Amino acid sequence: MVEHIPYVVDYTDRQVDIELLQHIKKPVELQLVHVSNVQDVPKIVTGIEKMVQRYALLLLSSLNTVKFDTAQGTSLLGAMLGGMIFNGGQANSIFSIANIGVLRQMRDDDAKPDTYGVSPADERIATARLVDIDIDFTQSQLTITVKITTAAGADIVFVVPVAASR
Amino acid sequence: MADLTLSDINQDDFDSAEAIIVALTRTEYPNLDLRRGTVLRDLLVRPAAAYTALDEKRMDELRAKQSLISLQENEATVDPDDVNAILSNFNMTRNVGSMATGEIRVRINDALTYTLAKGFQFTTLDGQLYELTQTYTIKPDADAGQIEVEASNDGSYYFFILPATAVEAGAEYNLEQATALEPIGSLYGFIAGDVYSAFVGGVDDETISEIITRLPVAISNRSLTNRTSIEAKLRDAFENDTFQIQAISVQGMGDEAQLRDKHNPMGFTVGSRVDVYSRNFVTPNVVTLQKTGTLIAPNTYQITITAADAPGYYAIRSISEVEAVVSPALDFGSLPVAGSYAFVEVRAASGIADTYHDIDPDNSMIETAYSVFQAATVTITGVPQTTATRAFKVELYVTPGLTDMQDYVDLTAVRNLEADILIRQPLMCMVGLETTLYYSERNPVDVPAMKSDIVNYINTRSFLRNLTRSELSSLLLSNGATRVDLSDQGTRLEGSIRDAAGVMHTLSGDALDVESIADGTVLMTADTCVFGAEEYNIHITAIQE
Repeated sequence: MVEHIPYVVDYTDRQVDIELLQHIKKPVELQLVHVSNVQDVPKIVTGIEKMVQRYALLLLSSLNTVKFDTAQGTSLLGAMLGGMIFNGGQANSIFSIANIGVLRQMRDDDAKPDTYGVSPADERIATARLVDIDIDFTQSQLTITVKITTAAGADIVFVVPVAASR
Repeated sequence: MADLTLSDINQDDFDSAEAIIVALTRTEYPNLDLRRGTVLRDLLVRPAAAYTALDEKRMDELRAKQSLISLQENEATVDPDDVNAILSNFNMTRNVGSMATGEIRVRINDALTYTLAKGFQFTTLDGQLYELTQTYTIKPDADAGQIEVEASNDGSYYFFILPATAVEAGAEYNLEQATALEPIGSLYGFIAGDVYSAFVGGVDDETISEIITRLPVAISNRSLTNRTSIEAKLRDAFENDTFQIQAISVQGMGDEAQLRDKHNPMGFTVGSRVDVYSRNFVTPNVVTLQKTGTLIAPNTYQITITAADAPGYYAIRSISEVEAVVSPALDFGSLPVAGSYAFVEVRAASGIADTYHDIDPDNSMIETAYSVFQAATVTITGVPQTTATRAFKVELYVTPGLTDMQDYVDLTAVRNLEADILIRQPLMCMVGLETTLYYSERNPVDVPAMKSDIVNYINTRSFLRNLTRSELSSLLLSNGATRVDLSDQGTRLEGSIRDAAGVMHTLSGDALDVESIADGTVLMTADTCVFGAEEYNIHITAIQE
């Protein structure tokens, strides 16, 4: 049964994470990280935002790049940087495989309440569906729009822009 | 330990550490999300887990280095400094191996003059190297400090004899007489080289097992007051990188082989007399002397062996021509070995008038036997030539360091004024073994390695009542034999012991039981005898089945 998020959510005692790339306002556009860019107060995230961040981090991590957890991540970034994506169809196919891997990795840990604590429904991922893929060959940029649905039923759409290393 | 890096951590180590970090962190900070994919997991948990795993591995290694038992499990790769670090807590150091020393006979085709530099090397066919430890000048009519070029008896070649030392420590460098050697590099006029005096004294590094066995003695009170402390004090004073005491037996008040504390009309044991039998060798140690004999009858010469020549020697191994190399390949533990001239040996006390040691003049031959107060006159028969004097090569079994040990316990600063301690060479039961074993085609056996193992095993059996055929057959089975023929025809085990009166005793059967022939009046008991073996006395027939 789907658990719906109320309009007002009390995040007291929720588990938190640090916001990814919190000091870099526009990560794709910023080519040089200067000390003036990192003066913001660190920010923590929780709830859906934290879940989406987990999803993005896992989606954009490459397999075999995390020492002692070679199964973390996906082959998405590797495929893109390796020049294996020539069109939207290929991108769709590769994303689908990567997406399945991310869902499995997230659910694995969500299923261990004794180790990591209980995850509220709005922090547990139910599905992640590809909404749009846009390949900008002139900018060497792949933009993936994903629609994530939590176990509580709320949807959130986010965009993951990834630049190729040229 | 300092060399360990994250690359030395395996997945299991990391997973265990990661689980600990997650559990500990969540105990204190339950609202930190540490699941896979979180920033906290990547930045906090993973590095902490990696370094925790590394620390744990370092601690495991440290724990292992604090235990001799743990080090023993990986003895082949253990750093000797780690062993010594533990031993330093007990004022001990590990005994490192010693290098075998012996003499090489070099046959040449002319009476030439040579200068062989320090470091000049000879090699066996197996590639074991032996070198000169000083520069030698070798020439006919040599001056003092030089080595003489001599002619063979039949005049067919010339030869000289060189002292040499193995280039490395280890028992495998001990060589029997007549083993072929060749110079590394050219040696003008060289015909052949072989071992003249057996290379002995090569000892492997002390094993951790041996250290554990030695520990109780090493950490005991060091004074000349009881058996354990006497052994401890002697080991403490003498054991070093080049000198090892393999075993010690202390015979004191009430012991069967202690004769010197009964010097009273009633024959009561009064105590304070101590005989220390010290085995300062692993393989039987042979000393070679050149003695000049005097013709006393046709074909009969007489030599004397003074107390200083071979202090406390156990027995004469052989007497031969100076140039001869005695190679008793078919011998079976008997003395003297095949190839020796026949001789009659009469031992007597020497120098007891000048010592405080309590020795009965009426029984002095027995009571000084195998000590530094022993001398002998030897009559050699069957010698072909009849010149007035003649040089002989005499080989004797001698325990090294006996004089030094005796001098040490006699020091005023060391000796217990109420005690009278005499150091003796142990009686040595020379063992011969002839056996037939079987092996499978799929698992061939290494007979030379078996012989070596048997010899090493026997040479570590000291002051024990017996040596059995089953012990030796177990060793053969553990070396790959499928079965050993233990019938009387299949396995023959014999040993011979010389008692203090000069009588040779032969033991044989399922066990060489020293206790069965024990006689304290001639210093022959299980507490005064050790077992010894040389490879040429071990005969193994291996049959495939």
